[in-house]
Amino acid sequence: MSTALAVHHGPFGRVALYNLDRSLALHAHREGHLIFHIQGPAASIRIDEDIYPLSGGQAVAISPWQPHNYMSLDHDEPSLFLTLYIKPFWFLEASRQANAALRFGRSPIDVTEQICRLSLQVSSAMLEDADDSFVAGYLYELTQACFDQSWQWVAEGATFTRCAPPVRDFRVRNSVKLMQHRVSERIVLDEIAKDSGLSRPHFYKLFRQQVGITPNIYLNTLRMESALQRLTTSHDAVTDIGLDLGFSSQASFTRFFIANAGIAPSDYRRVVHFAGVA
Amino acid sequence: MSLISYVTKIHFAENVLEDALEAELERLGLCRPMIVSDNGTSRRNVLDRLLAAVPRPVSPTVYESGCCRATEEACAEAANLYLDCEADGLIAFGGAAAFNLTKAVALRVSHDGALRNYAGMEGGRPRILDVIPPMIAIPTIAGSCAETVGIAVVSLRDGSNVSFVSQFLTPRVVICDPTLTLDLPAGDTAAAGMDALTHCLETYISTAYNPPADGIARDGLRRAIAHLERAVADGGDLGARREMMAAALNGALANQKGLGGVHAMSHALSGVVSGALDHGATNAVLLPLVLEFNAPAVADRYDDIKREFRLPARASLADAIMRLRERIALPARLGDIGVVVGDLPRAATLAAADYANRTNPRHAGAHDYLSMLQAAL
Repeated sequence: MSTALAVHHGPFGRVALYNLDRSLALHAHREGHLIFHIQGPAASIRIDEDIYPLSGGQAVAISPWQPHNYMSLDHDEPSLFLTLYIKPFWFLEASRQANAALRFGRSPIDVTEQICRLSLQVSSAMLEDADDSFVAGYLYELTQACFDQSWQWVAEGATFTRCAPPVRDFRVRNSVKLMQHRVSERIVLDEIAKDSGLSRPHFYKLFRQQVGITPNIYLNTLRMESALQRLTTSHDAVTDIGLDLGFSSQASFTRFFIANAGIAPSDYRRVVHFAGVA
Repeated sequence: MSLISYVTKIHFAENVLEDALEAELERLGLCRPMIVSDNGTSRRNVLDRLLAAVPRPVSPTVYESGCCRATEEACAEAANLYLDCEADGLIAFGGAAAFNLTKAVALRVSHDGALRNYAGMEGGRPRILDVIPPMIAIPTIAGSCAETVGIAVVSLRDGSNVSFVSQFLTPRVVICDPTLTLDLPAGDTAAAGMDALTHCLETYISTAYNPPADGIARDGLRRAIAHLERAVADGGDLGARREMMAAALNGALANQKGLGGVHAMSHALSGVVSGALDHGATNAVLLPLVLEFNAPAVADRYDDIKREFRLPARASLADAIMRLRERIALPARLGDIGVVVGDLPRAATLAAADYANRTNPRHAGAHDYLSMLQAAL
């Protein structure tokens, strides 16, 4: 069973220490995402169409809305990962360097001595309940070091990612808005398609083309965001949160949450810590 | 990709020192500024000119620092003096050592606890708050490129070099008066000028996307290439001095785009070598090697630089730098400036961890830096 050792929420976004022993479903985040292997067997991750190792020597950077799924290679022994979900605007303000969308140049990040040291410092600061400004400070440095490296040329793979164009089709923009409004209802994507003025196949095709991910993954991201928000800022029962998001039972909500985050919602709620300062 | 900000007020004119200083001291409300000078005894005249320019009843205190780098010891000593004389602001007067030390003192007197806690690498950036006393920066060499920059590089007691990075560490006002550089000896002019040229070149090819900084860097490069030899050959050539000061200022303004491998190595060497190391001369030795290393990652940017050098497209940029270095009589090898082979492995490790390495166009590890340092020895 995968578990969470520590989760911090703050102005930077979220950062978590997860012990993972199972694979996750394909998903995406609004935030810039970094994953560092801390201990245990190596694993791998699929980002878009490519598979990258997750080991002591290699971390990965995932740009906002880039679909990915973690793949556990050893189901007997869990691996400990430090995972960052960095809000693009926090990094933009703090760094004066970043892409507004926190778009990384490429996914594989070579874990240099310095990146290794910083990832361990973030991890221990989280476990030791260090002053919040230390966690935020190390997080910033770690993000910056990885962001900068992702834009440096390397002999083995010199092509950089290209920026996704903005969503131009008004019907797709409309469908995004509808999903955001109706995330707390039991949403059926067919209805979203209809209300956006598109046939079902055309809706899927156009959405994928313009947003870069399927409407299902997009909707799952919205559900996860809503679930995380309520788990961490309210005392509502897990069952109620699941029902409000359109799940028929607590079991199906828990299964969905585990598939997307790796751990159970109650586990997440138990370990989360709020950092007050930037 | 960048958030771009140019906020520092800059006076730039010949003989502007006296008028600008009086106006800015009044505007900032400074009555007891502390002057941090790294000009040493050989350039006593420039410090005398500054002191004469301080209007009554302002009463300054002077702290004279070493000329090569800012150290934690000097910072502690200067901070004590600052507190003893109840100073209310700082004037950095000189080159990189004075600028770095002034920023470190400003941080020290306004923030508690170990200095290291505020270092960028220690996640210190968010802990540096907007409580820093006002600073005025006045360069007396054309080349440190630190006057408009919110970064202080300091050697700590344990021998490590750290950077303190915060927008609040940027001096509020810069006074660039090229007449302050007229007495600078030819060797120092050459080294400072190569530093300015290196700043412009490294920022121009750095990974960050910052179009205004590119324009500023390229303009600085053009000025430095056209006037460095003249300023070295005839120190009294005010036109050449002015252009070199403009090149250095451009290098400082472009700095927010990030530096590269040359500075990563020269920062590292300054912390490792036992004696004082001239930063500009070190950069001049390393620049051609880093240009060669970065060549596959830079593509058409070298063509832009070659145009500024008036070189044909197929000529080697590294060769052009080496010829320029020879004409202004700067050393060609690290061995000539006091680096020994035993310094190299640690310097290579530190270079890989240096901030400047993060924006070098090609990803470089300690082994890459070790090869370059060995080739430069």
